[in-house]
Amino acid sequence: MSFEAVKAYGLSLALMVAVVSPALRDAPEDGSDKDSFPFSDYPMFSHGRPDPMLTLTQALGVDGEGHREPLSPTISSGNYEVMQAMMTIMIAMRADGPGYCAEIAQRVAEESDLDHLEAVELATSTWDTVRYFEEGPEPLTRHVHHRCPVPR
Amino acid sequence: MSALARLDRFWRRPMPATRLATLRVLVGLFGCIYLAVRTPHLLSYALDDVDRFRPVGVVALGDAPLLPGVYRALVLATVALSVPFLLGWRHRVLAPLYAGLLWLVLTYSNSWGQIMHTDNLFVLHVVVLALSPSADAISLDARRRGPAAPFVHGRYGWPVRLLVACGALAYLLAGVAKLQNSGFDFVAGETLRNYVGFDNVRKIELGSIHSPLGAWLLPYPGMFTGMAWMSFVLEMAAPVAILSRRVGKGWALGVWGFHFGVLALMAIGFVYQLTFVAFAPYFDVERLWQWRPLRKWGARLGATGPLAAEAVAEA
Repeated sequence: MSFEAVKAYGLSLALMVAVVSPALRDAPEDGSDKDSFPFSDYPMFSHGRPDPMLTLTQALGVDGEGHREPLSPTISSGNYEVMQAMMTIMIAMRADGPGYCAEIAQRVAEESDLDHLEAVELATSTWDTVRYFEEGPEPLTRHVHHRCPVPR
Repeated sequence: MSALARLDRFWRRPMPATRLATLRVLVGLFGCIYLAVRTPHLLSYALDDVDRFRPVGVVALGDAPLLPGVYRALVLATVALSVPFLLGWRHRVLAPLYAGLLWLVLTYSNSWGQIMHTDNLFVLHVVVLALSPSADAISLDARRRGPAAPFVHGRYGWPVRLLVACGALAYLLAGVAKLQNSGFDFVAGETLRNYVGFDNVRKIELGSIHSPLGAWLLPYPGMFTGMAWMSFVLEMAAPVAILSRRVGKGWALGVWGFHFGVLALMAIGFVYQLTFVAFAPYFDVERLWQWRPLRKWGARLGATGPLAAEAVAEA
């Protein structure tokens, strides 16, 4: 077999085995995903979702009249990727909730479009996602973990 | 003919150097633009926050974030190296370096709690093109050395097969994951409808853009069942796209449409797939240079000379 053939089959086999390897591995015992990069088992949207309920930890801005609005990923996490923002909020809130709330409030204070906001809340809310679009965005439940003023 | 000989004839089927080179140009051009646009985003991961660091892949070999300055330098080097990859300059040395840095930088940007799946195929395609003779034509290297000889050869065939296989296997895994994690609930129940609602509400409540179309269709669960079946069949049929080039072309168009569906219903954009660059390996892309607006460029780059014309005719 020529060197060219060895290279062709060696590389091809190595890469294809690497691509399918996440599906062949057992799930970690700690319950975490087998997912990695760039080799993934592509778990997104693969688990059964028999009901439309969503529970989410989010960053909210609160104005003088008590109205709440979701803060954009760049404000809530300093990153414009929405999924990355979601993970950042969850991880940071567990590590230091009050400190993270103050960090977001500082970013709100620096944004002129958000002058009307007086406080930031880190909250976990639950919705029925089908009813959300039919009846409005009020959550079924909401638990506010931390609230902090926007420094003006 | 033995099975091994048949396999060899299939996997290392002679293909024109211009096909592989055109794929390098397409993936290289995508990389240059994509990385330039994404540079601010990539640089935003120059963090030293150990609490948020969740290393994956090669980045998990270290247990702490890189110094922000080091990471910024790696990002800028990756963006810079995307240019010689596109031009096919010093390909044997610089292209593997580009592939390695791209792998590292994109893995690092996925090491902060959320793994995105939008760049996996792009990285794998760059790796294959970097480790294969994809700069033997339509490149500065080829201009310096002269045209490849022989012009149509198996060494230009296997990388194209591998590009196709990497993509198809990834989609197969997505189908297998659905079977493993939810059986036939994904297609038989309301899982997809609930995911569309779930994802759109999540985006709104995280202050991002969502898909009004997806939200509007939520009261019609039957539509989502049909779409779930279509996507599942496309994913499970992926291996056929590796074995048959003709089926592969139809399959690639189907998956391309699937990604437009995902964009329309969930506002999730797989940019590499949506630009069709991800599916270019399924087609005789060297014919692109025959297209009138590109003909002058093709002649200048050596993509439409007598050797190339002969190769196109042979293919």
